Amino acid sequence: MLLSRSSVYTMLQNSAAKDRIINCLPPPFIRQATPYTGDDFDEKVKNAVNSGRMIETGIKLSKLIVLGDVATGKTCLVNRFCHRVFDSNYKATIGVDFEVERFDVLGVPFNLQIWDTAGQERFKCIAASYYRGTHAIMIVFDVTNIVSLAHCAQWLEEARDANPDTNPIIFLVATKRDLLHTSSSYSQIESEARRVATNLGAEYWAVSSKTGDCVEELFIRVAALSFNRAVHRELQGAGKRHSRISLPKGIKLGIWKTWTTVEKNTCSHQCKK
Amino acid sequence: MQEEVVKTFLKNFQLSSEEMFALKGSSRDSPITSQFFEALNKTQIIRNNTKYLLQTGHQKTALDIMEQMNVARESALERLFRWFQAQTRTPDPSPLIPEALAALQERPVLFKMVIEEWIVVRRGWLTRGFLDALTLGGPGGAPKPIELQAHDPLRYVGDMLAWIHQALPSEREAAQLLFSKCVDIDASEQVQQTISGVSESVCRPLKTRIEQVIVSEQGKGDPVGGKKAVHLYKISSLLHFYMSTIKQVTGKGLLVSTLEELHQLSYKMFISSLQNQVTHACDRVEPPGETLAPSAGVAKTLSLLTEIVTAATVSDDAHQDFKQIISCVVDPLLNAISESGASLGAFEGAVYLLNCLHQLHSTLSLLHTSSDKLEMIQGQIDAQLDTLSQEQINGVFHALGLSSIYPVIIPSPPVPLSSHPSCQPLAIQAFSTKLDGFLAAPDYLMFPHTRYLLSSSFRKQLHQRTAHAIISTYAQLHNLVHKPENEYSDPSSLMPKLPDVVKSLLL
Repeated sequence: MLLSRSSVYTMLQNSAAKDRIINCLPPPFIRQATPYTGDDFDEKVKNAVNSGRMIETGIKLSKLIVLGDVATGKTCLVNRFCHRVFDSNYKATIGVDFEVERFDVLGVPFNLQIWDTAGQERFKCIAASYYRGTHAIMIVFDVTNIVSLAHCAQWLEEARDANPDTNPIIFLVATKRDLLHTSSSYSQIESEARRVATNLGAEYWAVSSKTGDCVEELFIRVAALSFNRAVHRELQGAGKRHSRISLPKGIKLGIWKTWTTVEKNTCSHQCKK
Repeated sequence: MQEEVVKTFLKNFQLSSEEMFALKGSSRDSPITSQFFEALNKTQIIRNNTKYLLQTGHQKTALDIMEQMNVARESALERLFRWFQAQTRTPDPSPLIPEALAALQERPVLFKMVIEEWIVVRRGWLTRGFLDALTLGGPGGAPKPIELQAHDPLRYVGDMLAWIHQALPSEREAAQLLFSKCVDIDASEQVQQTISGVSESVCRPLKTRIEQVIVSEQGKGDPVGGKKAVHLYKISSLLHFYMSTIKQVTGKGLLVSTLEELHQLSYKMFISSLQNQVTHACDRVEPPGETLAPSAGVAKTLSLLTEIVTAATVSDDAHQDFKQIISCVVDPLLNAISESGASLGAFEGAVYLLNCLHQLHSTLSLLHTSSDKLEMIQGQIDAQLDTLSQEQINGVFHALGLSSIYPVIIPSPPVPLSSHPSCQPLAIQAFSTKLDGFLAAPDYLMFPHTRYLLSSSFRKQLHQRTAHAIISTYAQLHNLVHKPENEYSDPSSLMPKLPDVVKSLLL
């Protein structure tokens, strides 16, 4: 993973860049093609932010993973947003790439970690390990390749398998929008894609990394929704924190406790040395 | 006027009471503020200013002020150091931390100590986070603890490594922030060293777990049907991948060398397990049946090889391993094949070997690797084909009655040829008749075992080599018989067919 210039700068800034400041919830791509229908941030979230409690607990962080078939333009999409560049040469991602973008949402510093996974089959076992604990999932397909749309459900299923108990925000993103010139061929794809998006419970977007069309809007929307979700989670967590240990997972605990306790004990013992 | 001078003097050579207060703090543990750094900076400026006093002959005053500033600075840095130590222990350190570190740079001992403190504290957090992710999972049990995956070794190892990889960016951010105000040092190197130092803490828990996975995978029973070699290879290539990925973040360090060690271990285990598995499979390469086809053991061993080579997914330089892996499988297999075919006759043995080599060759060429092994096998195939066609040609020549004629006409036929006992007109005539029969049904004289050759191209090659041998001998003989000095009375009735006719009939 290369240390990108932007990620260094991002965190050194005391405040986010102008175009990374979000003060109201940006709209979805198509109002009818999203399960996230709120027009603005949650009241609870806004109250919490306004009361100033949030700022004390340091910079918030959400994790976004970008998935999809090989050569659908995942890396190009991320690079367009994070570095404002577009390179039409194809270069396969090795394992995963990492970027971080700094936002100020409602005046609260917020970091979006973007994990750009490899689409190649051979990296699947590696990429799968990064699905754990993600807050947002972006499934990417290529508008010129209908097969990549058909695989979206499978990608999501794999990501969901790794996060059975969490409820990440899901986006279905059509890339290479600039390659379809006639509106009829696009609208055909769009209606199909929107059907898939509805089935997956995802918000639909169509972008072009080459022209930069809608890329900013997409990521700003992702950041805003993730922030909303993160603050929400924290507010709920604050109420629940004390009950964390007594969560209803006693049975599961029983299964592995027998053999992990031994290992864990020896391990922590070693760590103390 | 005098008041003015005193004021200016005080401003340039003394700290104001606010500045003193900012430096000293209200109590021992009062927090550091940004005024502190302004005041600290001021002491430095005053120290520089004293050199004008020295130049103008106010030695005593200059030295007094210098001493005063040094004392103030000393105690301020002392306080800063204590504050910094306390800050490293809080999860949300003050934004003034980078400035504080920069100020501490002038005291290398303190500077080193706070960095060590920082590393030790974050090490603790990282280990705790790692152990929590392993055993408790995320808040509320989602995502699930990694150890729930322990039954699936590949997933388990992959998840642990991915967790560490994902924890490193935060460490890097923190470290970059920490060193961001420091001058005169190579910040990126310091950052690398710091992350490398922090990441050392996960080595032990990681190592014990992965070693356990490798060893238990190696110790699994059922060496024949099991997939443990494949699993071990996948684990080994995963470790290699993360080693190079993490190396880019931390540089060389304990974590990288731990991963390297684990990679070596898993690779060694993989090779020994592969050798075991191959030995077992080769013991089961049974002598061929009537059809001379390779036994199931050969196919099984080859499918193991295919599985391993195609499983080599994640590392780019896997091709270096393939050479060893392929010899590890192919060499014992070749031995087993030749042993299992040892009881056969020369001809059947050659057919059986060709069948096995054919299978081996087609498997290896699909894997796009190790051309030298392929060449070696091709060489063996050629040699076996030579043997086989020689046998075949001898057989056909014998059946046609050419075996006594052939040695006479090659290399220098005696003159006249017709008086040589094996080449009397009668013998030639007999050959012609037999050849007619052969031309009518060429397959009749082919050895029955050639039917069992699995490769049609081998069958065709064999056929053609035989045909060419007959054609060239026929042409030679035809030529000799028609030469007048060989004194055949009626050459055209002895050998009525022109060589070209025979050629067109045979090919």
